[in-house]
Amino acid sequence: MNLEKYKLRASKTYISFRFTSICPKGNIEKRIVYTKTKNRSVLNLAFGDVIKGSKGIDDTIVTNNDDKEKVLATVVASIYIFTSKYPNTWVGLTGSTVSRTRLYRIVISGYFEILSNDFEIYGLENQNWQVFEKNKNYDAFVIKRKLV
Amino acid sequence: MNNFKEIEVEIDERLDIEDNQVFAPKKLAKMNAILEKVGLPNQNKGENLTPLQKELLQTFALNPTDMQMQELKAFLEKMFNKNVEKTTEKDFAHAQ
Repeated sequence: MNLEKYKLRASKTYISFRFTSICPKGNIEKRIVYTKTKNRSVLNLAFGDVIKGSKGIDDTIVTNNDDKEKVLATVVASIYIFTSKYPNTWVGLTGSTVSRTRLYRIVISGYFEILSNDFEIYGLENQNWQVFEKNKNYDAFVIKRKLV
Repeated sequence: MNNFKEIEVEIDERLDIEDNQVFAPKKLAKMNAILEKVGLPNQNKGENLTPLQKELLQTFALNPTDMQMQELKAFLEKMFNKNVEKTTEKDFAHAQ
């Protein structure tokens, strides 16, 4: 599986990332930030379009830039970078909407054979964390790098 | 072949100020609520372990996740089965 990815720009800590989605329809600046949660062991993945003239992030917009797979592969690659720097930290994933959460499930399922080699992956079902199973709906996800 | 690990990354110090900012606050609030209510994936308390395996866990003060526990259990079973099957008095002769 040789996936195309965009070049990432990262903060010195590898907590904040940006990349530019390039397409004939126009370039779109994307932001990935691993945000602190109330649990010190968990950082939440925030991902979306940079809002021009704002410090915010739009994680609801669907830009349809014909490069969805390349964008998602870039996000997954950022998780690899982040968890290689912080191997004991969990990454939380949850969508802003049900369909966004389903998108995370589709992405994890799509790359499951690769990801499951490198990560412990859990999905939240009925207020319980379950070992992730492909094509099953969950409310949220947490993943952690497997310790070699 | 996993090529997720092969990606070009450039350090951009302008992004350093974003490290402590809160983005996607609704998603963060949702995750915080989940973590507060449910915690992290179940920390295995050692059910289904033999007394020796439980003792080993306590000795090493391990608190593994379910998945780590499965791997650890498989490892311990493999290790001890192997020892039980193949260890003889001769193996300890050098220590006497």
